[in-house]
Amino acid sequence: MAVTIGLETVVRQKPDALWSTVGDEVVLMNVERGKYYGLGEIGSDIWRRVRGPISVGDLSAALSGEYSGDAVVIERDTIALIEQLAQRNLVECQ
Amino acid sequence: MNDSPVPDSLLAGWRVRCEFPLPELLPWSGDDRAADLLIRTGEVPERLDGVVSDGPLLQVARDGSCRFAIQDVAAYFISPRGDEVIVAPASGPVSTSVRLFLLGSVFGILCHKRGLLPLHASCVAVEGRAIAFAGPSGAGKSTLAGAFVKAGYRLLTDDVTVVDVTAPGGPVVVPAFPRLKLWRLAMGALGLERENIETPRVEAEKYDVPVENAFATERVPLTAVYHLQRAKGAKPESMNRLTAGRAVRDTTEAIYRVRAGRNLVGQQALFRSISRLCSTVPCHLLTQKMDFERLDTRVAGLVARHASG
Repeated sequence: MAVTIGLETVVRQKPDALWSTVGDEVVLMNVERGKYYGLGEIGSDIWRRVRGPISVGDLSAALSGEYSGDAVVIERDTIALIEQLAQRNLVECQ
Repeated sequence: MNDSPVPDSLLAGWRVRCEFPLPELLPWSGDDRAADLLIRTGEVPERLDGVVSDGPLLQVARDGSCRFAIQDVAAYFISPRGDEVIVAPASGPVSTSVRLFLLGSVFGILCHKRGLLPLHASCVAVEGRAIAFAGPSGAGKSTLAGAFVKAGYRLLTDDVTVVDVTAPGGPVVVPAFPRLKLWRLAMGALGLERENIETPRVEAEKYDVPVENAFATERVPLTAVYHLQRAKGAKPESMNRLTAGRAVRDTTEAIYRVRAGRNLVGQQALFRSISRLCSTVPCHLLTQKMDFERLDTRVAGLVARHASG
């Protein structure tokens, strides 16, 4: 199901998503496809922040406070990552 | 009580009491503990009660018991806790082929059941550190391990590297048993003797060479995993540290009898064990040409990298 992600979208980890950490990095497993995704440093941070439901707007604002960089770019990159996670059935979006 | 005339032997740190001789294994030389694993011949049912997973070779029952069978060779029953194996040869006494699958697939199932991670990898010890070489058949695992043995280093295993990822100080390699399977081609290049070698019918391409003297019997901390692949065409040789996602993916692909493992310990538990391994042990992709003349150089390079590290 294609979901359009906006700032008001509320996102959370799917409770049945399989993930673990390798060093500091989060690795996700897509059971259906048998694939593994390493999220990198910032992606791993985002994954930990969507443990409970959070709006993409609040998430982006929190990240802008944490990392230097243009807020608009951070918003765009955050939406792109959430879209990928949603496509791979690893997060729930409402 | 079984007054076994066959002395107990050592397999992956377990004390094995087997009704029939297992010449591939070293004799048990550890403490006087009770046997960890009993192996005997006997009847194995065609069908287990309460099968929850039914593959062409492997049945898994609800209570955790398994039946593994190879047509015309043998059927094997593995108890729920992996402390007993019953072997039913298809015909006649226990042959080399029967032992081959016992020490192959059945051994892999026992590792999964007993909380050890079996990797399809060869493994050598360099100054008290274990280096594993994983990869599909033909990638050069045995050949590279053989070159280390020739250079005077000890072999932990040539085919299945058994890792205890829960060991307190980090993952350790548990020595499996001291046989070195080598490709026919590799034999000549390494200059090993060809006398008294068995050629099990199902692995006719490989020779079994006893290398007892070079075999390490103690647990050795795992310091690196190299995933081997052959350089195709004109592609140069290379070595790259794998990112976390790739390390987990490639290591999962290297798990010996991974489907049985998923069935027996669960997808999530297996994923967590592999992640734990990849967290502490760096994984590299080693792309190499099958060039036997340069094996010595490769061994020297890897030794230099890991001996002082």
